[in-house]
This record gives sequence, C-alpha cells and structure tokens, in this order.
Amino acid sequence: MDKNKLPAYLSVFIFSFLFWELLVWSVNIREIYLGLFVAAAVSAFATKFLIQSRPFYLYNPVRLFWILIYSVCIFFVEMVKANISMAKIVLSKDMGDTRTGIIRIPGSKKIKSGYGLAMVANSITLTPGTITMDVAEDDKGNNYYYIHWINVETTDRQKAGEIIKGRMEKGIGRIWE
Amino acid sequence: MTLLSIISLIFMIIGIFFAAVGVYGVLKMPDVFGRLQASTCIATMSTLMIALAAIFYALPHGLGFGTVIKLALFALLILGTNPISNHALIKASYKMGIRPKKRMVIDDYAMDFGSGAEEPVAEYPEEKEVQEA
Amino acid sequence: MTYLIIGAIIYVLLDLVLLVRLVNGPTAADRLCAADSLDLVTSTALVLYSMYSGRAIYLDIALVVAVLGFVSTVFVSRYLEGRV
Repeated sequence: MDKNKLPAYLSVFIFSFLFWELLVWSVNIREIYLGLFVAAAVSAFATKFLIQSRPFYLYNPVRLFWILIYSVCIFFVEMVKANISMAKIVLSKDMGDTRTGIIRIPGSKKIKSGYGLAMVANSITLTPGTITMDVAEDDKGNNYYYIHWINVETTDRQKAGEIIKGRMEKGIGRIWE
Repeated sequence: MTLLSIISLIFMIIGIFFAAVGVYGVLKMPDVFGRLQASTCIATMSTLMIALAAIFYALPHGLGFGTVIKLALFALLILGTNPISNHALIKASYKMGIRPKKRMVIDDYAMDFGSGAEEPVAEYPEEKEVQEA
Repeated sequence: MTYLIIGAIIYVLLDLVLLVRLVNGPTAADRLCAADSLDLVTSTALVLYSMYSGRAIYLDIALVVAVLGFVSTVFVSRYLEGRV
C-alpha cells in the first residue's frame, strides 16, 4: 500500500462498511467484525478503480443534500415524463416508424471530472428514448455525448442538447465539477 | 384494505403496466436499438414502482425496517447498474455492424469514427431468413 | 395480501412472453437484450413473492439475480464487441 493513497483507502473502507451495515441491518458484534474484514478486503482491491483524486469529495452534507434534491425533484420527474412518451410510442400503431438517429450533443464546460460525466451519461440512458453510446473529448477539452435517440425532434445539435439533458445537467453541475 | 394497502396496490398496477409496455416493445420493435429503448421502461419505472409498492406494503405489516432499507437498495442497485449494461450492449451491437432497419435521420457516430465496424456494414437481417436457418 | 401474488404471477407470465424473443431473436444482441430484461422481470417477481410470503430471504435472492444479470450482460456484450 502506498502511503499517499491512505485517505483513498479509508474513504472506500468507510463507504463499503456503511453499505454492509445497511444490507445486514443488525448490530451483532460478530457481523460487525465480519463487515470490517470484508470492507478491508474490498478497499484493498477496488480503490485503484474508484478513486483518482480528492477521496473525501462526496462526504459533504451540502453535496449529499443536492444529490437528494436532484434525484427526487429533477431526475424522477424527467424519468416519468420520458416513460409516458415511450409508452405512447410503443402503444401507437406504427411503432417502428419513428425518426431514429445518433446525434452528437455538446456537454457543459463546467463538468470535467469522470464521475460527473458518468452521472450525466447514466441519467440520459435512464430516461427511455435516449441511450448514450459514447463520451468523447476533443483537443480543446470540450466533451461530447453520442446519443441514440428514438424520435429525433431536431437535428440542430445545440437545441437537441437542451431538449435531452437541459435540466439534468444543471442539477448535476451543483454536485460534481 | 387499509389506506396504505390501496396506495401499494396502485403503485403495483402502474409498475405492471409499464413492465407490460416494455415487454411488448421488446417483442414487437423492429430492431435491437428500439428493443433496448423499450427495455429501459422495465428497468426504471417498473422496478421503482414495485419497490415503492413493496415498501408501502412492508411498513404496516411489521416486516421490519431492514426490509425497507433492502428494498431501497434493490431499486438503487438496478438504477445504478442498468444504464451501464445498456450502454455496453448498444455500443457492441453498433460495432458488430447492426444498423436500424429504417435509415437513420442523422448518424454523427459514423461521421466521426468511420463506420465503426471492421467488416462491411451489414443490414439488419430479415426474420424470415433466420427462421429458415 | 392476495394482490401481491397476482402481481407476481403476471410478472412470471411476462417472463414467458420474453422467452419468445430470447428463442427467435435474429441476432445475438437481440437475445442478450431479452435476457437482460428477463433478469429484471424475474427479480421483480421475486420481490413481490417475498412480500407475499413474508420472508426476507427472497429479497437477497432478488438482489443476487439482478447483480448477476448485470455482470453477465456487460461481459457478453464486451465479447460481442471483440474486446475480451
């Protein structure tokens, strides 16, 4: 173990131990010992995949509060709306007769970290009707998402980006940078 | 029937409706891209609504708070993992050379990365040919 | 309650419908998509059955089924892409 990596290991250890306690949901002393052992093993193996910089970024009440607000007030509403429009497409008679396409939309300049990009891409995928195919970065540092869209409303890329991820990206911009 | 049971029943009916929509889409959509889009309905709305229905059922029936936590973790786990598998699957099917049956309106991916497939681009096979084989 | 077991039975019937796509999907990607949906529907039916029977052990089985479906889908699609 590298000594500089110690906060990263500690962060993963605390997270996996909390997860274990939520799954087991008892304060038996044996299960706590086993949970400590399992959390140590997980943090020894998985830290290099999970954390590159700033290990305690998410252990911050303000960011946890924004995650709650984002997932309940923004993401859930967008998901329900997209589900209803997807149900309309499936239950209509000419089901396969939509204008499909793969469109490249520009990402926001504020979100640079890998976690933020992944969260935007996963939120886009979880709204039915749009699936992220790839995330790419050009020479100047701008990020682009390649999105398979089942019903292309506009081929203008800027407007399409506003339609697909407008509110969600603003919400995520408060959590990750 | 108490009030919480009725709320749970309503959530369950919504979940079953969206699961049926997703299954119907997986069965009837013309190509794999449309099928994946329809199967997202199963992963998001159906799972979330069934988890909410189970939570509203478990609270008054004394199944314990641990069950509620486990149900919430179940919904979170599926919401966290399903987009990753969908993304991997749609990229794999694009790189295999599968294209939608209907011509795409816009294809930026082929414009920027070439055709994406090592082999020449294959059209989506008709169902009749496969049934013969 | 009775409605939970009725919901679980409806989910199992949806499973049987998905098997049609799994059997005669034209390409491997179609079969994989159907199998992924099959995992999700099965685990949801297990959640409803665990509520009906009042045993929390079925919830653990549902969690494991969901996780195994995710892992298998990712690995098989990476194999189809040609990167394993």
